[in-house]
Amino acid sequence: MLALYLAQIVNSGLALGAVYGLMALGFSLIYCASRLINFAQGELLLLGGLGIATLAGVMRLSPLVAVAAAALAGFLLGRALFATTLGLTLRASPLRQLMLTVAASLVFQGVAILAWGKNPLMPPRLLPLPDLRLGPLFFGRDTVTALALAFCAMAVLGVFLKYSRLGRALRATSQNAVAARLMGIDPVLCHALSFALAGALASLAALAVGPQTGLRYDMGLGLGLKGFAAATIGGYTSLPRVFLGGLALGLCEAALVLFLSGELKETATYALIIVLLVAAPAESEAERP
Amino acid sequence: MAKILILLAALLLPAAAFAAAAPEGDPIVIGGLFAQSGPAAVVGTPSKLVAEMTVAQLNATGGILGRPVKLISYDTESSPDVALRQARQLVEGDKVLAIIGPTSTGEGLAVKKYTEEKKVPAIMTVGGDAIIAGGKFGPFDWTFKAPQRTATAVDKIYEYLKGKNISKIAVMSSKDAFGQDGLAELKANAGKFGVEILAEESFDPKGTDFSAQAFKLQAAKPQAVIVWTIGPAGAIAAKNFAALPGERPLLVQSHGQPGPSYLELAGEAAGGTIMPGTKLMAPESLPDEDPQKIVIESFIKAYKDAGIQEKFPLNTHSGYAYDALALLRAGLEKAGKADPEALRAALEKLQNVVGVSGVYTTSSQDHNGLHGDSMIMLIVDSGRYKLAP
Amino acid sequence: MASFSLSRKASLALFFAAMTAVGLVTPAHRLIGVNQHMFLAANVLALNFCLGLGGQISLAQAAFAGMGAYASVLLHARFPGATLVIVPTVVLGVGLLAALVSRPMERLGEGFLAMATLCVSLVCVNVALTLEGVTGGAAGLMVERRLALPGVGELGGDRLTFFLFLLLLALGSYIFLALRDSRLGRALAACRDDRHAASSLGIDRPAVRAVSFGLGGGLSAAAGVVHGHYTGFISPEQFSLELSLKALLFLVIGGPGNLLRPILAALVLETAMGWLQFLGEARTLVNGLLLGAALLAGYWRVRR
Repeated sequence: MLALYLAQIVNSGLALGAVYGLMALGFSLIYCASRLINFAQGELLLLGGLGIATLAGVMRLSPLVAVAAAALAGFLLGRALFATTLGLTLRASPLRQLMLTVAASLVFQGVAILAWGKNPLMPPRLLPLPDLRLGPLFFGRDTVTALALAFCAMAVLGVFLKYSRLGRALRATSQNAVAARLMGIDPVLCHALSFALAGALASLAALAVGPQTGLRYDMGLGLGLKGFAAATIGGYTSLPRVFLGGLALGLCEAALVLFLSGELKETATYALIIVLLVAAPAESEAERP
Repeated sequence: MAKILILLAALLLPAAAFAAAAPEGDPIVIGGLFAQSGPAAVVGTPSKLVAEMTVAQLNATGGILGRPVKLISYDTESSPDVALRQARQLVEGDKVLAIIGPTSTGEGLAVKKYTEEKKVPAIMTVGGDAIIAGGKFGPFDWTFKAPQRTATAVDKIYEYLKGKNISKIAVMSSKDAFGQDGLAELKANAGKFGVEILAEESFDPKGTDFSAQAFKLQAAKPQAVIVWTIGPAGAIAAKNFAALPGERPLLVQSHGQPGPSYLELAGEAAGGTIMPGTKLMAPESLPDEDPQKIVIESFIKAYKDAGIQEKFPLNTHSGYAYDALALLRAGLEKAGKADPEALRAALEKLQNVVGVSGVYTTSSQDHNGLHGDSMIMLIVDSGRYKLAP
Repeated sequence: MASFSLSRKASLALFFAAMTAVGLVTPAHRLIGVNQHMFLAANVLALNFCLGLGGQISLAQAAFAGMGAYASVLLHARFPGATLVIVPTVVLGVGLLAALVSRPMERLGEGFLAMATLCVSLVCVNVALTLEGVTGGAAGLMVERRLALPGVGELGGDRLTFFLFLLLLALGSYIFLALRDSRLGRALAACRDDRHAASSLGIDRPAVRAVSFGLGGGLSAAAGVVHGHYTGFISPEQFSLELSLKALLFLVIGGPGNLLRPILAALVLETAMGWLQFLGEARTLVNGLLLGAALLAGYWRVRR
């Protein structure tokens, strides 16, 4: 019985965790490049998903094309978000920039309401992955889809950041914006790039979460918050750790439901995050964002 | 243009047919409160459209008491505070005779406290029973409710389960007012029907995956699981149950679910789920002698003609605003004058008012007036709602 | 208030005089809208203590307001008529709690602090949902008792509540200004502008900032008390994250550290958004555009 419980925790936890992880990656990219908490992250997922769903209604999308289209749509959305928030207020206080993303999230919601209405929309399942059984572990197809998308995105992102010139520029800006600038890196380009990549990640997450839950105008904030929490658990700076933070959050939620109850899950999760933050060792305080 | 013509024709034809006198005199002003933004907007926005449609119909057929009806409606933003603010504007600013709406239970409670003190009749379209429960929720002399009580839906489900010899169940309810209400009623009435609740779980209605809860409930080996929520979460739960390995219990949804949205969101997983719903959801199954048949059929036709169907496909909530206005009309006609106290007294003594959601017979204790016979048990079969066998 | 040629005192006097006029002239049923915006404005001012003076972001303001409202309503149900004891106890208690909560969080940077305070908000909402027997859960709680003072009678009604809120704002403003120009205020400013330098100067950062957090929490709780009894119904959704975010939004629009501008921003913009009813479906979009424009306008004004 316990083995079954554990298998179920892994299945539910990873389904949630992979999506949280993708959202958290986007959060961290933007946070590291521009010290900005992006409250419109969930709306990027929403609009990206709705866009792809509409496209899939018009033409047949093969899985690869769907992924590429989602990434591209998200990329453009993220870029547009940058142009209307941070791009306009490069020298404003971080708080004003943050609040602009809140206003942007309302605008995105407004667009979703006007273009797609208030009823939830069910996007088609564009990635036909099967259920998976690995020994005692069981993965539903949603879990498999989310995990596959997340790991592919992680791998591509990792390679891009590590080996490409642009990726290195982005990392340099994250680590020390002034030094990067002295080396001839355009910081604005890097900010814009981080937004666009975050948009692409959110859009990919929509491919995983959309067919499971449907897409509705008011779903953004909830998912965005979980991404924010996951990014916080992961500590923002290292992308693999941030992604693991997402998986940990998902697993923790599933475990809390099974061993405690759904009633107390949220309370316990958020209380744990507070404890985690407060109790974390104060390693080199200056570097803590 | 064609649509407008059809709409005009639909509105004018009955008027011509019955040769009703055009309403004249001062209009009877009715206030409408509908959540048109925020989480309850999916229910509130079509309610407003239906209310406007119904008022146009009323005026086309001679108004109420020979006077035209005027509807002034505001957006409550799904917030109790805003709902109260708009209610006061309606009562003190626009001097309405009565209020229909609001949409969510929280809004209803906030408005009710005020309308009871101000002695304004309010026919609410909220799901929760608290507004007409009395006790710690205060008196409900001036408050009426158009949708079925939670307890009515619960009884309907239990009766059905009893007929199928199912006595061991598990309950999964959302952590909001609707879910809390459902859980309380399910627990309170279980004994009466000899039903045993083996396990209960709750979930966040804004969540995206409830497979952990589903698994935990399945592990208790119930014969049926009742999911009590409104909105997309119900469909997610259905999918999570369908994805469970092993033997699955019968899935029962609440009366908040029936509608095309559930079918679309849950897809194949919806197949075989049982739920109580209004007769609006299966009009073809009604026998000819059912008094609601003609009302429901003309309502569906008007709903389509008014173009609401395209934006908000017909669901179990669609008729509530119509019913609220039907109750109001019956009340005013019984009272014989547009006076709040007379209207209140009349609303308490209505008999056999035929609406879309049922046939209402109210009393001073029962400010809803609907019973189990107003609901039918539905089963999802190959992507359609059918009468459950 | 640099851009106005009015002195600080004159602009304050003008603001409170104008608000008094609003309170006297507006018909009662319109005043309820103003009162709801005043509740928000009080929370904006409360947040200004943490953020404007101490430089600490907080998304827990709604939680403090909610605690104030629930505690006062529940205590009044138990001990009706004890307003004189209950209200100060609740305000002080929540203020102390806020100060205590803030102490271990003080060293967290901006992003982490935002997350931690956000979690405080979410925990509070979920606890209120779970403790159904006490708080009524998601369905909420009807408020039977009004605030009452011996000799004065019940403190209800729209106009009286308006002036209660105005009194609260005036009191908050006075404390805010007094604190800003005091030794403690300088210490807070030092923490805000350069926390390492502040520590080096021997300032006990956690203690100093706990004061600003506590004052903010107390003010929010007081606003919650008034609002809860005024509305006659409280539920967790009224004190959700949205309230915290709105408070932060309007504070940032007006500029943290400014006294009047954020309050004005809250009152004016909320009223304007209330008027946008007629837009129907496009409302959310226009709200977003309006807030964005206000944020950009503030930015460009400072830049110029």
